[in-house]
Amino acid sequence: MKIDRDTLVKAFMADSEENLSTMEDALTLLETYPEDEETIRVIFRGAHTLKGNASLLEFMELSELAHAVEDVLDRMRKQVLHATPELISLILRAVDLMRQMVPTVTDKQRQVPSELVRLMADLARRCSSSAGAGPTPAPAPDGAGAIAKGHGGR
Amino acid sequence: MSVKNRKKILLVDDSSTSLLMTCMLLSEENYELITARDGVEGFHKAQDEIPDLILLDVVMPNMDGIETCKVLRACKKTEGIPVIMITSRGGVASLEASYASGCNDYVIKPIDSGELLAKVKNCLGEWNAEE
Repeated sequence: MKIDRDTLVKAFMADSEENLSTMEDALTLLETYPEDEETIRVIFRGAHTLKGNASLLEFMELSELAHAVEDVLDRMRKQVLHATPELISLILRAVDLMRQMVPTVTDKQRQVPSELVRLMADLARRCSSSAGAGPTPAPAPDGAGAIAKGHGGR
Repeated sequence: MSVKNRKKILLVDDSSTSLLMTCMLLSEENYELITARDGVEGFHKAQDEIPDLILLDVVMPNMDGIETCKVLRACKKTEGIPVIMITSRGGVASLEASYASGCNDYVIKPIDSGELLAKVKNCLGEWNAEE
């Protein structure tokens, strides 16, 4: 079997839908139980897997957004950031945007959503506000540059 | 290589996309590939199938790759099976934890096919002087 990109993209779409649904359900649960460590780990794993899968197929805008979400969740895992309603709402916005982006990743004519740059900045700000108390923020996305120029996915 | 002598590799990853990609990368080498979707299933399959090599993702539900590798090393039936950990870029802590758990080698995602094949062959002892 050689690399069959179409088959991989189909698997990616199905995986992404499953991951995003799991993340959404867990975020809803987190609103009620904001200290629940396992729920935070579930959301972290969803973002991590989505980041890795998108990177594998070189859907870089999506990978960078998932990476930014993963960074916030990593700080929540380490209790550097806390699951406030505002932070949960921010992550839910990111999940919504990823859900919009997934079906369009192979569309060469697609536009970069205007919400993407704003959301990436908001997520990065949350991480930098916790800098010094926790792990080093992920390099602000090479992606920021790529996204601003409208480059990125394939 | 006859079917009987085919080397068996167990791939453990919670992402079906990633599993599929790794299967595609390894499929031309005539290995027998078996898969598991988390550490618990991976450990059970390792005990049942006694593969020649295990490729283990780090971040997984139920039991992550680090814990799975520790359990594999603590079990008589699986303690000697080589393990290659599949880890994410930039995770130095994860690399240290991987080696501490007893893995033989690691590959960083997104996987480079040449690097993966070289490390797989190395762990399976498939290099020879002529190559």
